[in-house]
Amino acid sequence: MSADAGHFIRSWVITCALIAAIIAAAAAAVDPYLLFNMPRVKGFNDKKPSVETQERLMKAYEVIRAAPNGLILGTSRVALGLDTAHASWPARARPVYNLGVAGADPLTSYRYLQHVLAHRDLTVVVLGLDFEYFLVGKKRDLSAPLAFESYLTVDRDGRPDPNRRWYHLRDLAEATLSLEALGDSIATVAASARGETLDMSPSGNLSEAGFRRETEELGSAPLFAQRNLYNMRTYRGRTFAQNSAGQADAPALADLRAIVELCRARGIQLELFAQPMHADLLETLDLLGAWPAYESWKRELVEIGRSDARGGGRTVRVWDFGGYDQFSTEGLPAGADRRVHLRWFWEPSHYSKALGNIVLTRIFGGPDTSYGVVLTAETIEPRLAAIRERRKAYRESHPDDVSRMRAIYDSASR
Amino acid sequence: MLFNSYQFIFLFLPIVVLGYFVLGRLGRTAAVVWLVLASLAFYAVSRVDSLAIILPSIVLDYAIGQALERLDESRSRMRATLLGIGIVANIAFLGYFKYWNFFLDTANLVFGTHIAFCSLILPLGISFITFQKIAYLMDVYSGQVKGVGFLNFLLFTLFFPRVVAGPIVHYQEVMPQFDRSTIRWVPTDIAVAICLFSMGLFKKVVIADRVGDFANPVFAAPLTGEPVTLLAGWIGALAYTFQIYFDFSGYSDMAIGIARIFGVVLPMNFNSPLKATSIVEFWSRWHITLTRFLTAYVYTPLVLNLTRRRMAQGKPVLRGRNTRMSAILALIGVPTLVTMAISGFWHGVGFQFIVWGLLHGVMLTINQGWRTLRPRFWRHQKSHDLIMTPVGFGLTFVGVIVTFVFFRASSVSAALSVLRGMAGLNGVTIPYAIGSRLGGLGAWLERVGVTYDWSSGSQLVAAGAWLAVLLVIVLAMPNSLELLAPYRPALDFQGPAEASDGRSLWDRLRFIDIVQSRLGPALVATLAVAGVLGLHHASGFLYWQF
Repeated sequence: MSADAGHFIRSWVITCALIAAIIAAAAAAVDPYLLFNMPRVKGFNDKKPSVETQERLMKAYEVIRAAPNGLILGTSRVALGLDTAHASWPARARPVYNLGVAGADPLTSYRYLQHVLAHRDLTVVVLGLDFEYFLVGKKRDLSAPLAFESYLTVDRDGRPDPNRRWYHLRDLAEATLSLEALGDSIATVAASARGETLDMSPSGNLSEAGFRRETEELGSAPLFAQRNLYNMRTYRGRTFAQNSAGQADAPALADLRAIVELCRARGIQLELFAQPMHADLLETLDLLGAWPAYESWKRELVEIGRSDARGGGRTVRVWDFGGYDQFSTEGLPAGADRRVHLRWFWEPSHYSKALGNIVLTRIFGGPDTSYGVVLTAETIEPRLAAIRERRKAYRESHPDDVSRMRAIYDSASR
Repeated sequence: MLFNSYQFIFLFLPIVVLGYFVLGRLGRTAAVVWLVLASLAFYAVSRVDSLAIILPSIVLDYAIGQALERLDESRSRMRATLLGIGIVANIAFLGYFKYWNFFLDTANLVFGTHIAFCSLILPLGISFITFQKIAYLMDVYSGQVKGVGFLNFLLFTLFFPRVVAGPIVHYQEVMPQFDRSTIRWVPTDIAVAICLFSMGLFKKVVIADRVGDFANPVFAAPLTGEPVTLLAGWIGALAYTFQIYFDFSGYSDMAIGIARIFGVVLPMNFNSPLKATSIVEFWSRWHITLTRFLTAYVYTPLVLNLTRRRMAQGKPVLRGRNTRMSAILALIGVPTLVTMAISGFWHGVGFQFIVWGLLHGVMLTINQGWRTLRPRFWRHQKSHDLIMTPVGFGLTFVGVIVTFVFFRASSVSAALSVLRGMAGLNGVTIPYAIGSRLGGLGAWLERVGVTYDWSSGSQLVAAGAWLAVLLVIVLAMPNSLELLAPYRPALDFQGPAEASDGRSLWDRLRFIDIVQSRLGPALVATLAVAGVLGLHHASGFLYWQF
């Protein structure tokens, strides 16, 4: 029995080593998290569905390899909607990398910008801004490092992170010898063989396949209903913070100012824009009583742009694409056909690439189509008044949509 | 330091094992000193201030034990007083560090006072260590343990494989195993240890931690005022049952496995409890060493005491099937409820744990009462077994799941909120993504009152798949001890009886010898590697909080 036990121990040790080695090698070859710069082989590992859970890790590594001159920052809305390959990008901005990541507040965008600038200079940054991320909800400690910051080269003061070498080893280990990496490697191969799937392009663009799949599973109208309910529950009770003097005082504003200052200091053209929202989301904000705050927020953006100009830089423009217009008031499909989806929006906050292209065209010198306004001290109030007017007109012409949103608000309040 | 951590598996354990066998060449004492130092280090790494609190209490218990040993049997009153002091001191120690703020909170609630809470450190494993020391004092008092050296006592109390969450052992069943003239590497012990540790690691890291993700949102819902609906409630309760099952079973396997490296066989602590066909049987399979402790030191003394009193008063006592209901209530109900209330409160601070214990007390009383009286009106044993075995299994299974809601919830009201959902009082909903695809069935469901919600359909399917697979594992698969039956994996463990020659496939699976089978090393290695691959998301054992 002792000899059997000895044989068991030897076999166990060898098998453990073999299994671990095979898994690590396979994960490195498939490279689901883009850490090993493995070539994307069509049908094997060309799709990267792990972007759904590991986007912050993947983009932190990939953006350095991509060596961009132009950068897109913001949330998943820009990751999905703005195309790095669109023709309107000026030559000096190319290549462009889409560093929008899901749930990125301005602090996250600032940290990723620092990360890129630690490696190279940039000429153009386009930053999509979401009003919701400037609302203050639950208190959270922002002084402690956030999990994703260990992927970045520099600390918040812009100094090289002394622990980065260890973190890099950790990243490599977790990308090869973890259950998640194993599962994600299998998912990567399966998705690559399947073809149409959530994916991240080598320049950081998110494919629309994820939303297309969701839409086909639920249908457009139910997907909107689900997200509207979620938004109402999530943003209920959140406020646009003010200090004792009544001035806006959200931490996210300070982070935005830091981005502006960093871009000015590095001579980077910065295009800020308030993102397009579907009318459902605008109605949500109003039902939650956040409309005045939404307008105050836009005024604050103007102030931030002006302070940059006063500082000697004229590198910042603030755009507003948020309002009731021909795109945001697109109606929901009435039929039960799940394959029918909206042209401009996947759900209330995520706009399509088609609309993203129009935004980019407008920002980089396209014709003035009355869509998108540069906010300045002169244009802000007329712009806000115009939106209010269009809102009134929308409500008169879309009574069913208004009552639909009211019903969702009532159910969220129960 | 968690068993399921890189530091423990790749640093602490290899150093301790290597040191033990190298120093073991110098003799037993050197090896024991090494294990004591390792145990102190293991405990101190978790919280060094815990060690500073727990060590004086260990010294006190040792001193009381020594005094009990030295006192002559004739001085029984003095010995009993000393034992009483020792037990009270231990309970007071546990009461102060674990429950003081709970008492203050309750006093504030009841009397409307505003007494400020104390800032107290909860020493790691205090509940287990306290029971361990009480068992020692009782054993010394009864004369079963003699001549204990301080070094051995330290090792007995702090032996790192079981210091934090058991098994709760008797001195004489473990410590004599260290009394060997030579310390040597025994391949069979190592093989058994590898199997147990690998299986335990897999259960904890790959199963318990992941199935817990299905339970967490359900038990968080009452805190935000979200109603729990029928399907979600049952999924949450079942997922938590499996989480704590695999968490504690995994821990017990790892603890027993680690001790086995040093040639020490610990008592069985977990033996497929969800296969039980009665709640009495459940408690003989779940946390076995706690049941043993409470039976020996709480339940049995209470029953004896109450029986004597009733006899003295001329009241009826237990007399088989002729027992009167009053005797059942007084001599089964009262001791069981008291014992289980203590068990509940011992597990965790909060009324929900007491409710959990009391509910189990009620179930145990009904079960024991039924066993006592049943022959009076159902004499035919075969027909009884035929019918009541599956019925008993179903009742036990559901009872355990439902009562675990109290164990998991953050308060009694939160538990009631989940139970309300499980009873269907918050309605029955299914994800729209699923319901809208059911066609005629969906229409019928709507007619009978089922509504749609916006929860994730794929998440529901994933939960269903997980729970179905785990159900098969806990109800149909042989457990870790059964797979290692030829190697005496745990004290008190009786392997399955040998079957006849005509073995079915199922019997062959039950009698598989995992060490000698050809696929054994590969199977165990797969479990070990999977466990290690999951370490970066490691979380603490549920029982470590007690």
